Amino acid sequence: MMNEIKYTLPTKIQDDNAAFWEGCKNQRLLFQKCSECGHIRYPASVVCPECLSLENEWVESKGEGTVYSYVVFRRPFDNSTKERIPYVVAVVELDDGPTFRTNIVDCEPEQVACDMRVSLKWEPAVGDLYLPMFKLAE
Amino acid sequence: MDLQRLRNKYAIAGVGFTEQGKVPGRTAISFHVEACANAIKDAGLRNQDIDGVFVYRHFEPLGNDYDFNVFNVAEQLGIRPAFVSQEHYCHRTWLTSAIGLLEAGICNYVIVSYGDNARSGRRKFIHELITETNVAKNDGAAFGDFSQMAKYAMVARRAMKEEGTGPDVWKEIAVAQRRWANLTPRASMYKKPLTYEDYYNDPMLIDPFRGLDAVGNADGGRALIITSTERARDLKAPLVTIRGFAGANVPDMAFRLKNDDEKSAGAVASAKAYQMAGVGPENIDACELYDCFSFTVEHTLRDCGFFKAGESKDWLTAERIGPGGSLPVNTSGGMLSEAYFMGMTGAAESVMQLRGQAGENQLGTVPGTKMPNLILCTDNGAVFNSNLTMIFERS
Ligand SMILES: [Zn+2]
Repeated sequence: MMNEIKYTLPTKIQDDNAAFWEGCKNQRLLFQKCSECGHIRYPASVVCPECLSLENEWVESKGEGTVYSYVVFRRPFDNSTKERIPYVVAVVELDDGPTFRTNIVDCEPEQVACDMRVSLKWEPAVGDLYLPMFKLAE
Repeated sequence: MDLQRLRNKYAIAGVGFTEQGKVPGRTAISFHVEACANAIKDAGLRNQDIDGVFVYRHFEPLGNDYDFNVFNVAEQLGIRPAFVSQEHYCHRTWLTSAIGLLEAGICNYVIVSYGDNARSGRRKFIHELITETNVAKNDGAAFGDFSQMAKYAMVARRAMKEEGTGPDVWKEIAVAQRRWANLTPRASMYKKPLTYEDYYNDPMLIDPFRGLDAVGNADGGRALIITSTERARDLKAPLVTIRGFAGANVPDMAFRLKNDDEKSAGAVASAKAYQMAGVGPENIDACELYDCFSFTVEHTLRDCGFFKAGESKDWLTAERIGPGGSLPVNTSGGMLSEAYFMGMTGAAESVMQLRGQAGENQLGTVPGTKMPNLILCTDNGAVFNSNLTMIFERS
């Protein structure tokens, strides 16, 4: 069932984060890196919040990090997530980048805890999109 | 900036209530204008005296309501104010703005108004992320990250890890506030007791939060009038002054927010408010705190210095914060058990308590309580992103 599409809610994409979602189509987790001070930021912006530089390049994250916190949806708040209940929404602190909001998959919610190591796992979503999710590290 | 020169210079001159709870057949704007009219009458003012109008956070209209704006509110009140504002997001800056307008001499009487028909109109929790037509408002929906509840629960989960809190602490808040609501006839949960067993039996919605950790919806409105203490002295309501206040905004998106008690909006704002008032938590007789979730009360009490991180498990008991306890918190039941009128719920209750006009839940009348002189009140917006701390004083 590798290609079963579980994530059916269309993702709203705006001009500022189009490159991020274009990266997701190619299974690359991209963030903006400031060309002047090197700060890696997320969410996307035309301005670096550290030095206000307008110059940046998109760099790829290795996709490894630590669970800062997480919640478990026990009730669907939208029809698109009915089949997924219960599911984990987590905040992951990436080793090489910013704090990222995502899902922890391929485990029972009860296995997840704060400060656990996690690594990137791409999940197919609606259209040609993949979503950057995380699984517990080996 | 040192704001001690403003200590007790401004006051709450009027409070307006409406019918509340489940009140079908009413538009949202009808609650705004009824609350404003009652606040103007409570102060003993004429409508034309009001020269500043803040319409509190405004949501999309429900049912067959027309959308409305601050002009509609002012028009229905028969006024032509020098200043108007209508808030479309959760920043909590109404008092900061009002005092700026009064201090600059731009306005003399500023009214702040909340109104909604959220209960009869069945306003949805999911509203924050998905439109009525099921279109995502941002990219959080891709991960099923719906509702503000998930965002607060995220901070709460980290606090469980760092501070040893959890449902065992939050049940104390839910139960204590329900006890207060059981003394307050206007409260949605009047005559509806809540036990610890009821709390634990309530299923998790977004783990670690249960439904009983969250506010429900209410129909109704609430309004306040802010003016100078000098002017308020000549008006008919008993004088309640603003001894200290401060606002702080930490605009980090929810997933970047840390469970941190030094940089949080509540810690920054309360420290400044205490400094302006020249008091500390030990001087506070009661608290009326923003309580969108039970955990919000814990987080706020910690930020306001009533206990240190890690102490909530011992400190935060229904005996301490409920009726007869040493620090009454949310004496009408708060938003959790009285009604969800955002910051107006606690601010109005603060004023009524300090006037001695609260009713059956009046401090000093409820056994084991004393008449308060100083009440600390907070308003909180978005996900701990915006905090307004107010210290009200009885004259
Ligand atoms: Zn930079």
